[in-house]
Amino acid sequence: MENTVVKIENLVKNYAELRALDHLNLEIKEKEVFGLLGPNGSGKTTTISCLLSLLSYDEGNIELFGKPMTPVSYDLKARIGIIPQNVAVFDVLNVYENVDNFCAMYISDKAKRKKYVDEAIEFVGLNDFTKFRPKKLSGGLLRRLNIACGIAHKPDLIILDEPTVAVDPQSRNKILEGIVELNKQGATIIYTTHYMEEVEQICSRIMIMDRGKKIAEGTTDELKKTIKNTETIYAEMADPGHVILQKMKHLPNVMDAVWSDGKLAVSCAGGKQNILDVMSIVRDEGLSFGRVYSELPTLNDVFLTITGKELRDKNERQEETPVRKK
Amino acid sequence: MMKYEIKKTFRAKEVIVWLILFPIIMGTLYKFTLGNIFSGNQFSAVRLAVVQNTDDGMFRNIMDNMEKTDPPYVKLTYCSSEEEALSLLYKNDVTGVVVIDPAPETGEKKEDAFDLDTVDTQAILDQYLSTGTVNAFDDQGANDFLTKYLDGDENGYVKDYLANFTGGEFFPKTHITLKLRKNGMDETMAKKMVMMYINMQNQVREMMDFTHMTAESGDMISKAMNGQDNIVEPLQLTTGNTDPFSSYMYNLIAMVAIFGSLVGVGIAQTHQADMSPEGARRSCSSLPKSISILACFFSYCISMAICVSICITFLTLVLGVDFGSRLPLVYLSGICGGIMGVAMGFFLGCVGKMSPGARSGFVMALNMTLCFLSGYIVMGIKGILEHNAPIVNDLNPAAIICDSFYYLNMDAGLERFIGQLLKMGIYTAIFVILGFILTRRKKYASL
Repeated sequence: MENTVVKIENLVKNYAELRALDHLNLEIKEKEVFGLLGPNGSGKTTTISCLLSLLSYDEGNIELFGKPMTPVSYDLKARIGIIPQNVAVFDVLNVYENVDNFCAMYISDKAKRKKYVDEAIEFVGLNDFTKFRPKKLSGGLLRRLNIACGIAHKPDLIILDEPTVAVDPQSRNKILEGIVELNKQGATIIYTTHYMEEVEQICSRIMIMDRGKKIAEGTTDELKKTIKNTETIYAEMADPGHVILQKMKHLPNVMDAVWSDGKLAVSCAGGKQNILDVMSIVRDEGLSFGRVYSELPTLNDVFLTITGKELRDKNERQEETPVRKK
Repeated sequence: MMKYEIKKTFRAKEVIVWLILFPIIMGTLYKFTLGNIFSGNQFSAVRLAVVQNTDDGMFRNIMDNMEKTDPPYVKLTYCSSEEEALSLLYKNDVTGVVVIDPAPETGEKKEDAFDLDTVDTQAILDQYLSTGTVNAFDDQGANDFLTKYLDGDENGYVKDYLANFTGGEFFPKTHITLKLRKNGMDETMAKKMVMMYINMQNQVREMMDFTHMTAESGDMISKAMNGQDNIVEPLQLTTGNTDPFSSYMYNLIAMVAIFGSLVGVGIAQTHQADMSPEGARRSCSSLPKSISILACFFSYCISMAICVSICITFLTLVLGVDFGSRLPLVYLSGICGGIMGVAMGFFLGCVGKMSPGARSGFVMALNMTLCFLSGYIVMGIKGILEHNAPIVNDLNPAAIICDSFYYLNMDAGLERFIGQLLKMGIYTAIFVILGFILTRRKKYASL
């Protein structure tokens, strides 16, 4: 049986009047890639900070590797690698020096450290940038450096707190591939994000959080099964009108039919020929249409179903700009 | 790890600007702007043209001796006529023209005990040099007078005069005129010299009145001629260096030392999870915070020692500032001050919660205030505070560094200097302990 790496019981954290974590329970097994998914402000980073004993909390227990986690649990800390949300590197040190500096907090043997640092730099693909100072690196490379600083000492548990924020797709893919590779090498991963597609791509198990509470937990498939919506049919067309939408809603297996932004969306639960049923109404009414396609439910649908709101704003990723909080 | 802490220090802009460039630029500016003002001690000889319409052996004797000193006080050009001397004055070849005329007759001639026409002055001198006493006159008072007179002749003016005396009055009464073209430092010096001689001549002539002549008066005349017997005895305030230029440079070193707080702030900022992401990462590491902080503190102390040493070495070797024979103690005091600055910065970095930029601004503003109160910026403030609110100076770390240099500069002994070093040590310990107390919080209420 796989060992429990992280165990959180009834964790409560209040910021004055605001309850950031509300009796949170969580258990992560060895070699899992555990996704902590939730919108901004849902309590993901607070959970991580409490887990690392950086933040005080009001109630609950936290255990890592079967031992209680305290600020002086240096034996436990030696097994953890943290990649914080805000890039935590020194601007005045170059790439190699930064990784070496942070690795030195864990590894005192110089030869061993050099090997580890070289491997970490190789792993994140910064070999050509070892002499570069962080300010000379792009957002994606900077994030990779941030990761290298956290994994150089080869930890058993790696905590990545939104590591792909403001990163271009190419770098994001590189980072995600790297996380999967670390997991293959034996590390347990905790991955927090509000990008559901990333979680679906790499996580073996997911917990969805909102307002400091766990609202769902399981594998991607398990979570998707929790909602009735199995398929959403989209058709690009002009507004079909209220009457036609009502007709569609009365089709077998159809749960809802809405039109917005030049696109008809019909949510279905079960059934195999839903798209033919919908398109037959379109044909009968003589409506012209453009592209027609069908999508399986996403974690956003899960989140939407449970909370009644989107996991994140549609344009959120495009609007994000690289931010380094110092 | 310490290696990277030291590297980080010397790659930080504020360190390069405030701890290395600032003292170099300020020191250079001081040197070129204030260095000449305070170079008054480097006396340049006053050039005088002398026209002797009558012989005044004493004047010639004293002036010749002043010309022979190193550096010379005067440079004399003897002219045969007043016209020749004035032409030199108008060509700016000399600062002034001294004209020696016979004194106007008053009709009353005082009986002079030393009408040396009647005795052989060389024989008197030889007798004194061989026996140590003069026995040339029937009057014992006159013999004692001359003996004392020669005893006090440290500069050899009287002996020279007796050796070269060609007859006439021992102190001829002359009328001396000084002619100048303009006002200035050299002209003032020329006036002072001539006035000094005239006063001395009158004083000596009064004392040489035969009726008042005693051995003591001979002693007094000799002292007067040697410039030793001033009416007001100068009080020796210090045996140290009173050069104001050096004082400015001491202030500059002290300022650099207290700026060490800008470095020290980094200790707190990079070790507290609620202050920086780097602090959060460090707090998550397996290295105990106390060890990490101490390593960082010692690294910054080394960095500060290097910065202060660069400053002092630059001032000494490049700008040629003379810190005297106590240069190693100047280094010691500067380094101790720098360490106290780092400790103060560590403490200030732990107080309250603010952004790194705001904190640096706060520390800089505090540094400037402390420096101002210590008289680094406006000299005299510290003295006013010492008089009205001495507690401010006692509590001000900048004033402690300032005082250490002051005592080093002014005192012959080292007691008060060592006292200041001890104070610095105590302050450093207090700041470090307070810093540890404030950073030892294990968890934060918010990040």
